[in-house]
Order: sequence, then C-alpha cells, then structure tokens
Amino acid sequence: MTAKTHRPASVDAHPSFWHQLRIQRRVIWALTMRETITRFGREGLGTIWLVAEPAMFIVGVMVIFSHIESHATYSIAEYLAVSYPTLLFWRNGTGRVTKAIEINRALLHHAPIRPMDIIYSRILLEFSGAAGAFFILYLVFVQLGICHWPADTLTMALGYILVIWFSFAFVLIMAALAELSETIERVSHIILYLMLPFSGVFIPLYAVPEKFREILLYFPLVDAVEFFHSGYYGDQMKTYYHLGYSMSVILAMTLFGYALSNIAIRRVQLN
Amino acid sequence: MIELIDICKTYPIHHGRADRLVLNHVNLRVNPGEKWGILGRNGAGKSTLIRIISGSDKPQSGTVRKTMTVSWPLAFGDAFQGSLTGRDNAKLISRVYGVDFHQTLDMVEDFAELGPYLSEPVKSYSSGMRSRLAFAISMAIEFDCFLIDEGMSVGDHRFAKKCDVELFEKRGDRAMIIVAHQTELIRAHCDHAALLENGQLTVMPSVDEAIAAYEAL
Repeated sequence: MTAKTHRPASVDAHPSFWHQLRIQRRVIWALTMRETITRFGREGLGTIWLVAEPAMFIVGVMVIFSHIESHATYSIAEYLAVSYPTLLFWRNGTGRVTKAIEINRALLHHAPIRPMDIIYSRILLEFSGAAGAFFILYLVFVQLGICHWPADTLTMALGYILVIWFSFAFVLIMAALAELSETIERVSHIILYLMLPFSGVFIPLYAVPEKFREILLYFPLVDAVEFFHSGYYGDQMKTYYHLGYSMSVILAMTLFGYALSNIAIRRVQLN
Repeated sequence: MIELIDICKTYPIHHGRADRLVLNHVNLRVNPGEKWGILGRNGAGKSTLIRIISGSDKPQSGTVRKTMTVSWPLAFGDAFQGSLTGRDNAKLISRVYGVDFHQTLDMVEDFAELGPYLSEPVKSYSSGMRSRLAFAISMAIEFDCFLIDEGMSVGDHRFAKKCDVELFEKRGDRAMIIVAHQTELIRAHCDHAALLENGQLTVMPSVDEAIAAYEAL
C-alpha cells in the first residue's frame, strides 16, 4: 500500500458519551462543509452568499418599508434592521430542512452519520448565515447612524438566543412533520407566511390594541422578539413579555420536536 | 462479528395500503475474516439485506449486532453528492470517518486513476468512474468488514485486477459480505455462502452447493 492509513475508531458496544459527542461533532461539521459547497460552490462569490443573500433581503425590506409613515420616536428602517433578521432563522431554516433526510438517505450507509446530523448540519448552516448577516449589517448600520448600540447588550443577546432557541424547536418540528406528511411539506410555505403576524416583527406589541396584545403574548416567539427589542431600545420603546411562560413553551416545543423527529426518522428508515 | 437475528423487513406497496415482505426471519452470523457470498436473483432482497447490514434502513423486527466496523456498500456511487467533485466527496468521507484527508486523496489519486476528473463534479462521471472513486475512498478507511455489491464487478479488466489485489490480497484478513447474482465473484473469493430466495436466507454447507442450488432455481 502506498499510503499509510488510519484505522477508524473501532465500533464499541458501549461508546462513552464524550466519544459519541466527538464523533457527532465531526460528522455535523463534515456535513455542514458539504452542504456549504453544494449550495454555494467554489466559483464566484461562493460562500459569501451564505451571508450576502439574507443581507440583501434585510436591506431590501428596509428600503421598501422605510417609506411608511410613522409617529414613533425611532425610524422604521432602524426597527426593521434590528427586528426583521429574527425572521430569517425560523423561516429560512424551515425551508432548508424539509425532506432533508429523505433526500440524503444514501448518506446513512455511512455508519458514523446519524439522521439527526443531517438536520443539525442544515440548521447550523442556515442559522450561521442569518446571524452573520445580522451582525455584519448591524455594525454597518451603527457606523452609518441608522442604528445605535443596544441599550442593554446582555438582554438583547439573551433575547436573540431565545429567538434562536424558538427557531430551532420550530424548525425541528417542521422538519419532522414534513418528513411524516406530504401535505405538511406542500403547505409549509403557507404556514410560514401565515406565521408572520405572530412573529413579533411587523408590529411591536405596544402598537397593538390591548385585547389583541394579550392574545399575541401567548405566542412564545412574540415574547422572545419583544424581549430582544427591550434589550435594544431600553426605555425608548415599551415592550411586553412573559419570560418564564415563553421559555416553558419553547422547552416543551423542543422536547416535542425531538420526539416527533424520532418518529419521522424511524418512518424514513422503515420505508 | 456481525449478527442478524430474526430480521423481518417489509416495504409498503400500493401507496401504503399493503406490505411486501422482503426479508422473512433472516438470521446470519459473520465472524471476523469470513468471506460470505449471498446469492439471489434480481429482486430477491439482496440490496435490502445490504441496507440492513449497513444500517441505512431499519428492520421492522429483529436485531442487528455489530462489533466490527462495516464499510458502506462498495461500488456504491449513490452516496456521493453529484454536484460535488470527486475530491470534495473524498474530503466529506474522510471527515465523517475521522481519517486524514491527504492520505485519502493520495489513495484515490493513485488507485482510481480519475486524473483531472477528480476536480469535476461526480455527476459527470461514468458509472465505472463512480465505482472506482467509491472503491478507492473506501480503501483509505480500514474497515473490519467490507460490504460488496455486485456492481463492483462491472469495472473494466484492469480495475477488476487492481481490486483483487487491494481487497482480496492486501485485505484478505478482513470479513466480507458479497451479494451477487453472478457466481464467479463468489466462487473465487468466498468461503461461506447463503441463498436468498422468497425472503428466506438459507445458509448452505459449502460455496459449491450454494452455487449449484442457485443455478437450479
């Protein structure tokens, strides 16, 4: 043999948790790299599209909607620059994971690859793009004077993490449902569109009549985005949220998402 | 050791209104170093058996026990992403199995003889080129047991000879499971054989008897 080869770690009947975690991290990274190159190629802007595409979306939305008349103390452009990018996580994420396991089934011949790794790698890639676009644009907008620094950085960061957590759970549920049902897969973009009023993005809660506000607060994403707003605006905008409630719901959604994914994965591997 | 215990596998037909039984209470035990040939006609369930062993599909009932590392089905080009180049696919698989990419690449360049095609998308490859790539990459990872699909025997003469050397001579100490509907490959390399027919796997006393029984079907 010309090349010296390594033996892969031998299959252990009871691999330790840490060993499994290392394998899974390696596999998710490999799949993420594969997905990156598959989607963006090596030519032209290549991987920059990962961030450029959502960034163009954000700027486009800002340009169009900033001409709306407003009586607020902040500009619409500023509001959208901060708020709109939260939408990218759950909306674009869902688009990426539907039928991902079914399509990539052949990958499961490789023993280290577990079905969930395919979902994780796609979520990781999509979320990185969404977060990257937000961070870069935010820094640019602060320099341009469109945005200011957060009133309370920690709150804003925690709010952002809460939005990401919600999006993760939501995407997981949608991935599993799409795998289980053709119908859900077909109507998933309708679900995403109809979720917009409940996304906390287009109308801040203080501008909503009180009786609707009470209803909207039952949607954990609305709470998360409001909490995120409170970190950015501080006293400049009145915000509403029930953190304990939303975290419990998101936790329940996460567990439900995992349970549903297990059923979906089993179904795919049985058929 | 690989052990299949009482495996049943059905696939839905008629849009899920009925099931077709593909594997019916299948039992098989492959010890380290054993070379198994599984004979069966087209549609007998050979590929299903391979998918169960590789773990890509799960059986409806029964247990698969593995204490050996098992390769993906060799000559199985489908596990490649068509829009990626041969090199990128080699990179993916090196990462997944935790082996050094440059060593894999040396092996692939040396063995698959794809030349400049290594930097072209796999979808532009011929089926022979795909199986050469799959085979070469799998040689860079040291498995205890190789799963071999009959497709491998479609390579040209020169490639078949190289496979013989790499797989059956240099890695002669490993276990192998070869599924085929052609008997030469199995006669040449196997020391154990079984017949897959109507979902039932029958372990035969010898390779010659398995081949005789298969030819009598």
